[in-house]
Amino acid sequence: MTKDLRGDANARAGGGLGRRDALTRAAMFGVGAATLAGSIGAARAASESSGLPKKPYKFHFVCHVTLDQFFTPTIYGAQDACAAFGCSYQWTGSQKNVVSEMVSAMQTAIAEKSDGIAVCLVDPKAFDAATAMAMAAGIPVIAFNADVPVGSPNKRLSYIGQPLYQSGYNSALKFLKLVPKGSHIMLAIGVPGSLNTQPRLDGYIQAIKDGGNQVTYDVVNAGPDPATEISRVESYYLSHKNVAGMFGTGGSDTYACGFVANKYDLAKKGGIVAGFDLFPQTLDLIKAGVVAFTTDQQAYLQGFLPVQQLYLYKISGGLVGPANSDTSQAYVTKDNVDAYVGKTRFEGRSDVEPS
Amino acid sequence: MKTQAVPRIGQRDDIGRGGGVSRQIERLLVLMSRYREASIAVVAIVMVIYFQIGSDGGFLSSQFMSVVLRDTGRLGLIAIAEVMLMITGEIDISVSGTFSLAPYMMVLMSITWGLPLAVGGAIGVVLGILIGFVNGIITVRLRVPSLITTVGTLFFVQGIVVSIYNSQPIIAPIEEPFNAIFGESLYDPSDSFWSWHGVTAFTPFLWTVLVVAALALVLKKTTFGLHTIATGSNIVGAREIGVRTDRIKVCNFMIAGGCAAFAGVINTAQFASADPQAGSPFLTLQAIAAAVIGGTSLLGGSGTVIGALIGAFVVASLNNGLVMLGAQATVSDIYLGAAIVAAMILSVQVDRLRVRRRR
Repeated sequence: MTKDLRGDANARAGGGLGRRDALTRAAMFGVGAATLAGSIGAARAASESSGLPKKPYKFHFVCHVTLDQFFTPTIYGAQDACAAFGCSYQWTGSQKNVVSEMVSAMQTAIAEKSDGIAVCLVDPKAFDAATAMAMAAGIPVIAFNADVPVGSPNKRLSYIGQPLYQSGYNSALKFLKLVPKGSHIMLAIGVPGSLNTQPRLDGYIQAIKDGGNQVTYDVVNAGPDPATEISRVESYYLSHKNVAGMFGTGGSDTYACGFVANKYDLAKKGGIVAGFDLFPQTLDLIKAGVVAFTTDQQAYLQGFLPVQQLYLYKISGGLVGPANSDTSQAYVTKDNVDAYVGKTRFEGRSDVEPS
Repeated sequence: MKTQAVPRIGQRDDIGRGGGVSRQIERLLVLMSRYREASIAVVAIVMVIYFQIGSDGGFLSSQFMSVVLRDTGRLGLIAIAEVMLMITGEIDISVSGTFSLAPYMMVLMSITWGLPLAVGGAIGVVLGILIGFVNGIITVRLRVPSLITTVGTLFFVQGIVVSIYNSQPIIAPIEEPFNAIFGESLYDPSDSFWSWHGVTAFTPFLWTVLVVAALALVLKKTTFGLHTIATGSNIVGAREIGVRTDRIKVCNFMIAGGCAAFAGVINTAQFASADPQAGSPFLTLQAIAAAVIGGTSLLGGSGTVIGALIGAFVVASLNNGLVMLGAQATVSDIYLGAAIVAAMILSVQVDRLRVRRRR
């Protein structure tokens, strides 16, 4: 699926003239130039390069949940990339997943003649017109954190983030190896239909169906706030004590599953808990052996890479930059959790820049 | 009230002599006619019976009741905060922001300055009272409708919470006996129900009951309570007889802010975690629903904190009971919404019956 996405994006990014061709020609030209330079003994060490110039580009990040703690490292990533390239950014969008507010924020950025827009494409259609408008105005658009489906006519140049459905599918393949054949499990979702967690849930369900190990499941609407989530997950556990595993699709419901598992010693009974994102409490529960693993989608990169790609796109006149990046390569387990527990800027728990 | 009810008992006794069941029903109806909370109590009883049967007796188990009553405690404190204001004809949407801010400050003060949680919690509650004061002053002095004032302060306060510590949830320190007294459950199924650990299974609810009892007394037995009701039922008349309605409203905003902050502190003591998103607007909406189901008028002038507590129990039971009965995520909100409306309809109809009997 990732491969398809990339191919599709490349096709989109290429436009009518074939961007891939242009890049290939640029590369060939580069090889030729290097050979020529080498032949006359004028090649210089990379360290002698004056580097890329700092440019005061202003980029707009349009996020669906602007205040969510998940995006703190994303903001740090954007800050660091902006500092490196001399750019600035504005963090805007919607507080509560309101698509119309996000589209308005995009249109405002276009009206302000933004140098580039990074947007969470949390709706399969709603951003198509605004994206086309931006691209027509010469403003590059990159998707981060959430993307349109494969085959969408949306003209965004690349996607940086976790393929949500695939990450749910992969995570389920991992936890299905840990639960007994024919057992019963619970899947929790904070807000059913939510555009960033529902695809993960769909991935879970598809993997269970494909798994063929007769695992049955219930899907619980955990609720929109942590206390309600804990309460409902606990209610589920108390009425389904045979449950072999509880799996969250977002940060707070994963923590809720861990909290309840800890309270009732589920791990000692062989129960498995896993999910997504890096709530500090979840990390503590991983360390304690209550939660088996959580998926890190590297939120920092989701801020750093869009700025980097937009900058390169601008400075190269559209030749360099947009390329899909799957940021969800990391699973946090008891073996590697110590690296995450500390106060690090890359996970959003400290604003101190690394020295 | 009693002079109306007593002759009716006599009349019905004459008619129903020899019919024990009908006399019992008659007594129940008379009892119901005396108390506004009776209608929501009937709804709660019907619902408990339904869930108890549906769960094969699991609903009323001590462990499950601990979950439901803890939820009731959290929701109930916010609901009674709304009741006090709704009686005066005002409303406070910012309570969910205060619910997040107070414990967040408590935990930050603890981990940054080493302040004991008890002191930080008290400061958090004072902060909530201050937010209520600001809401009240803006509403009554600057003549801004409370709905708008508190929507503004909701965003303002929530914005402060997420900006203080970069939106990060903070693991709260555990300081005993503070946590156990204010929310942490130490109860294990092997513990005696009547032990200290057994009591901790219900501490959030017990605190709420305490606050409800205090506010019920204030409303029924004090001049302040009388003036609160007078302010909501006829503000012009109340002013003419010398009630300082502005002051009454500001005081009730402060009570609401204090209750919301206290609920937040209890919530954090319960989970040992301060989350900037803890107080979602969903919490406020559920609390308003609990208050109205419990018999508080949206138009002001009447309300009952005991009814709101029972209303909170109904909402908390629906929240958790539906999960217990196996409602799948995609349809559970349909059940929840329909059940809240059904509870409201049943409550209103029982209340009409109650009022008719009183006449």
